Amino acid sequence: MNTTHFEVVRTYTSRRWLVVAVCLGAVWIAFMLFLMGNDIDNQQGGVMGMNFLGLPLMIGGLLLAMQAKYQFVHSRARLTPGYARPHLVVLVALLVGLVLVYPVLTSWRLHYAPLGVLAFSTLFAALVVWQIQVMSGLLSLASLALYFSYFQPTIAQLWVADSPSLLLPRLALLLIGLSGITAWLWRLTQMKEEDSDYLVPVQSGFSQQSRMEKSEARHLVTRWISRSPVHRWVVDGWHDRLAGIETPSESTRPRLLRYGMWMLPMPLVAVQMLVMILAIASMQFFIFSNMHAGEGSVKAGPMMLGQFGILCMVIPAMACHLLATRRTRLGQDLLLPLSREALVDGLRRQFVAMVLWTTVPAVLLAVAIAPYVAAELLTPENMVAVVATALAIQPLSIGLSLRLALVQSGLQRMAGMILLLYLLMGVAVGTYFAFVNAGLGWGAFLALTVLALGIMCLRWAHNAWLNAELG
Amino acid sequence: MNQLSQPAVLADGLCKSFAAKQVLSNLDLALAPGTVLGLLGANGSGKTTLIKCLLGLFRTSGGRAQIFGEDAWNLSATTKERIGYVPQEVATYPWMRVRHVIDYTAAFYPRWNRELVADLCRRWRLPLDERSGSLSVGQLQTLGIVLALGHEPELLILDEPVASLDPGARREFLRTLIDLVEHPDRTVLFSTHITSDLERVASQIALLRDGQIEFCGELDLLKDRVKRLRILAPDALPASFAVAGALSCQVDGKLAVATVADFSPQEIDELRQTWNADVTVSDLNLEEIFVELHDSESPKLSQGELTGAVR
Amino acid sequence: MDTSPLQFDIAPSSGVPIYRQIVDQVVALVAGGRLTPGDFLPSVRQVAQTADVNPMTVSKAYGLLESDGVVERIRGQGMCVSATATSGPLAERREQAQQLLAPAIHRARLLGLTDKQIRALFEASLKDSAK
Repeated sequence: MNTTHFEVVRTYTSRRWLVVAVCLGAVWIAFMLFLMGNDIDNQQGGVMGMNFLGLPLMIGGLLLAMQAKYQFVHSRARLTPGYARPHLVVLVALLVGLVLVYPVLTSWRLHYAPLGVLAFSTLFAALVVWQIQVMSGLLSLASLALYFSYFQPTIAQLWVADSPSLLLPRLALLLIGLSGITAWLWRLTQMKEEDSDYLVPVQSGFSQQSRMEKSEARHLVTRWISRSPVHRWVVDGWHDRLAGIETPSESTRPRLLRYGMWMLPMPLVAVQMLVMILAIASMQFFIFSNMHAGEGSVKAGPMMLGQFGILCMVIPAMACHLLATRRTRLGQDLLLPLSREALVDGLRRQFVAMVLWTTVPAVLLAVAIAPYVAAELLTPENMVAVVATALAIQPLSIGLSLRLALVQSGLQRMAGMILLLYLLMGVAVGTYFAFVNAGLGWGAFLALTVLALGIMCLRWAHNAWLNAELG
Repeated sequence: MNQLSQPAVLADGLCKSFAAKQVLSNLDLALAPGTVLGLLGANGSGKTTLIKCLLGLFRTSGGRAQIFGEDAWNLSATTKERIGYVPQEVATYPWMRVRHVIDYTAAFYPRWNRELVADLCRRWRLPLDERSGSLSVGQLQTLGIVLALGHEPELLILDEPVASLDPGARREFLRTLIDLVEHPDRTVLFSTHITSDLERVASQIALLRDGQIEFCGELDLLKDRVKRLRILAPDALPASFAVAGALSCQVDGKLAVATVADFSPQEIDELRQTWNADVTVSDLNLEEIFVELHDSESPKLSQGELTGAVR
Repeated sequence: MDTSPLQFDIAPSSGVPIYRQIVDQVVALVAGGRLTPGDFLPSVRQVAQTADVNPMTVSKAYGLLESDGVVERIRGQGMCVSATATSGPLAERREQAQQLLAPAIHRARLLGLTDKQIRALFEASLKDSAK
């Protein structure tokens, strides 16, 4: 390895926190593999396959593909002599490690069929990198389908079972995967500026955006709207109303801040989010009920409701993301005729409104579904516990995510969001079980404590916003 | 302090540092109403930081920043109605069409001059129906200027407003500014690297260097006082040859070229007599003065050097 | 008679301040007889818009011309070339002309001409321009 290659490797480590996160993940997976390897008969695949093969491949593939696009979607890629070779060499080396060496190690440890695992990993990796390359929703669906294919026993056999008869199909899939990856490498060196895939996946927001990335993001949003006529119609119809608004008084001005949170009015955003949540929850419902059919130990219904609750906790995260992306424009909004307090207050109201617009219908929906999927849970005690818990954690969830929206680095924000989700889940589960197991008094005490903490967090977030340099 | 003598913009002992890096140190600046001040400074000298501190976008680390007598960090809504600001990088909501962006901004102001805005959009050929996300950098900048002018602000602060404009649009911008300052109470503060624009519209110049205002005063005064001398002596000049108070001095045999910050005819006569030399004086335009002053070796220009009468 | 603002040839990027350019040009126009007493200077606004310069600079030049007695302000009408301006102080005009000549002489010397040759050249040029 000469110095050029070394320099290329260094571009992969420039995002320190990401490297730390990846290393931690790798250590954790190695540890788990070491722990769980021998004594498990895992011919069925299932969660194990998904965790040890699907997850690392998905995250690693996404990161590698994004890094490759950062490297190649730039004029220097075509103008610097001898640019492509060292970059491709390093990329191929990393891909070989991720897509070939790691799965073989896994298959040896978990007693999977090596060729089947390789067929899966190459096919899956090809889908993931192409999904980043062309930013296609269809490909992401395909890769998700492949990811969850471990739950389908027949398909899982194809990846993990020891069976000589599967040799040919496995070889065919392996070849398809390998050629997909090769085609992607070739595509990287051939991209031209006018091509539709000559885009850096900026929406991932891993870092503070540079000027170039900001303008890319602008174009991306515009292109995205222009694709769908319905979307265009709704967006324009909503904003056309702005022309009719005349000289509001100082107290009504903050209400105008609702334009600029996102391109759609909040009820529509709520509908979009609900549909998404519902889609994910039903898919998981389907998978769980298939997986544990006839076992009886884990019930799909309560599981789905639990998932639903967890997804509802993600809503503030979405609102946090929207507010954080608005941050770049707040310097100008601050000079609109609004005092700093009025601006911050207005933004907070919009934030809370966005969360409530989605959370309230989501909870209503859960209540409506509950009798069908988990009628046995509808006891009065349970209802009290769920409602009290749900209400108590709202201020905490809103306050902390409002504070997180001030974090400018996308990566740190994401890490914070994940930690926050775990924290909220812990608090919610704790409060719920306090109600159910320790009685109403303890439950109420805990709920009130959480509520008080939440209100303190809200105030803390508000002060942080008042003191933030928004320019 | 009464309404008349109150400066539109005031920085008093302003300090600003980011982490360990001090960008502005003890900076003083006062802008009387009716002034058009051009802010000049090398790249990274802190022009944008100064502007952001003055507008309350950044919090000062020390000292005061005021606009119309109000603390910059806590500007009231009514004061903000009197301010227009064009940032270096204009940011918009990319999904809004240009007319939506204008309507959004207009909706906040009690007074909004629709005719003026329509006229400016026409003159700058802003595509009203395009999404602001697909505008070019130059178009975004003109949109930013239009948005800052719609409410006819008394104080206009612009951070490199013309950096991405073509010469035609730049001239259009200067005309707009000239129209604007016909009203005697309008104050403009703008930073730029394009000195020829400043020469047209700025009545005052502030030079930012090492986190402080090195010179703030009339542009004409600067041009009157900073001159280049070309000294041709009959014999070779000694290497130690120097002109008192010179910003720079190069000696090459019989010829010496010096730039002085405080030109006076007596001094020239003295030079002529001492060295029996032929001295010619040439005028410098702002760009040349800027380059002279920002030569890293040149001594600091003290305010006192430039207090001579203009005429 | 009104004077066209196009009369002024303003170079904003020259080393000479704009106000001084205007003052010098008005004085030259008056001295050369192209502006006579009673003529009005173009308005500040006109000059500013034609030359794309700050109106305050133009007012400053006009103010200086007024205080020098070259023009006088007539209420509601503008700046008018004053009756005393034409004759002007001869000494001042001589000084101005001398300033114009000085660099020419300097250049001629650099070209290696003797004083005698320069004088002859000057006479010849004078004759030429009189034709």
